[in-house]
Amino acid sequence: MPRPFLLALALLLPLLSRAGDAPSTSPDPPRTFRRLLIRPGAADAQVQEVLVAGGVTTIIRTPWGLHRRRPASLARTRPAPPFELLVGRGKVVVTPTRALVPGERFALVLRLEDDTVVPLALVGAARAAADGEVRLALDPNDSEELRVQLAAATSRAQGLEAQLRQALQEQDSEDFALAGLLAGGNVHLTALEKVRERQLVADEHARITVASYATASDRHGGRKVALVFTIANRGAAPMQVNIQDVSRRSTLALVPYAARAQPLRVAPGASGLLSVVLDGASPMPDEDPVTLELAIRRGGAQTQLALDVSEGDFASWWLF
Amino acid sequence: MVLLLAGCPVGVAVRPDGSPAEEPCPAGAREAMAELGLWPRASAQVDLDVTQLREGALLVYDGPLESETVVPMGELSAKTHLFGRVWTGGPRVVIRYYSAQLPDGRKLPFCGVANWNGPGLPKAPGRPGSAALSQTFASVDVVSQFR
Repeated sequence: MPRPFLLALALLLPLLSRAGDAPSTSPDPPRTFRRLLIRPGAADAQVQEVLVAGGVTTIIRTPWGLHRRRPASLARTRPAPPFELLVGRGKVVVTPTRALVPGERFALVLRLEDDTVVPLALVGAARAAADGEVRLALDPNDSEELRVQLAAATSRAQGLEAQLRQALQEQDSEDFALAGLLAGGNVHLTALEKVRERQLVADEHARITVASYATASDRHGGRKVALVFTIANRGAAPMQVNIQDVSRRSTLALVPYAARAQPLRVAPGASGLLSVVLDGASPMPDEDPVTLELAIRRGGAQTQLALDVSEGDFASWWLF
Repeated sequence: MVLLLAGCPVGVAVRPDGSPAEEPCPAGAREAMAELGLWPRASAQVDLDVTQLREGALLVYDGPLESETVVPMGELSAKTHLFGRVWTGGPRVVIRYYSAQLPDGRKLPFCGVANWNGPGLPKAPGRPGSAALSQTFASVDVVSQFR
């Protein structure tokens, strides 16, 4: 008997921001940034944002010590905010305890030892864009702070340049070409064979199914596996499905992938394909599956779908 | 009538288990499909019964069936109608497609079968001549011969 195919766990999460329009790109180890946040003293000053991501630790440094009794507090929500906070002298270490959808926001209030209150927003970001270290400044005219700000801006620009270079390389990669063929409905032009199919979502608004594919042999330059999602939009609003992250469930370590969607936005009454190509040569034991996190946006609402896949999902038990 | 014009067989032999016997693709199907970039292993999702597009279970009967592609397959666009025939007597429901009508009205011979996690479709027991399917959609896969 074939093992259970895919374990799908849908979590409804209200999100406050948009999902990216571009097809997903293959992630590298996270590149984090040093950044300076300047908070002018005005009461109506804008709340500064700190970019955080699952599995990435962010250090927030304050200009002087934190309040002894109430140094840092997260806004109380249900479920509880997914962060681990460690408070030191003049710094707060923030570690998300789960992957965050880009744009997801949580309020964090710091209180300094002189009772200055600094409201911040922890905002979910791609791992490559997360803040590694943030220095909080209260005086925008401090020359040392301006120097740090310049260095941080330079570092961020270099990081963005590296990301752009990587994106351009990915456009030419074999995996992205393969993903493009699959998203175009041309699986028969590849060496991939369908292994299993499963229904993930089926209601009056949408139907999402996924089929897993694997190469029958290694003769095509290494084993590749792929997932092809078929998205049928039955609702009245446009629909969009994006891959947010692909990672090991146990360690949150990122797994490289190539993804393509056709079309990027599915109109009401229409359908689309989203393909994801993975390196099937890397072990994917059942006890440590790979988790794909998808963001499904219908109109103004967004839901998240987590999908675990392991070797059993790509082991051919029938081919035709 | 469309089925007869498109060469849909009405007298395919049936195996002892109730499933249809082998038969060749309709005349000209391979050439017509090749012009659309379709070869065996091409695959797409279909809504099985164009008269029942809601989600849920689906009752199918032995005889003709009109389905509709959900997504493109090669150069065959979405919302192409596929005309086929249903056999419910075997261990799984067999649906063979013999012709296609593109959204622009063009008709062509076609050679494909409906599958879901293996050849054919899983079914729940029903009255003779019919079968209950747990879903209203399936994959249609292009084949070089009906087996």
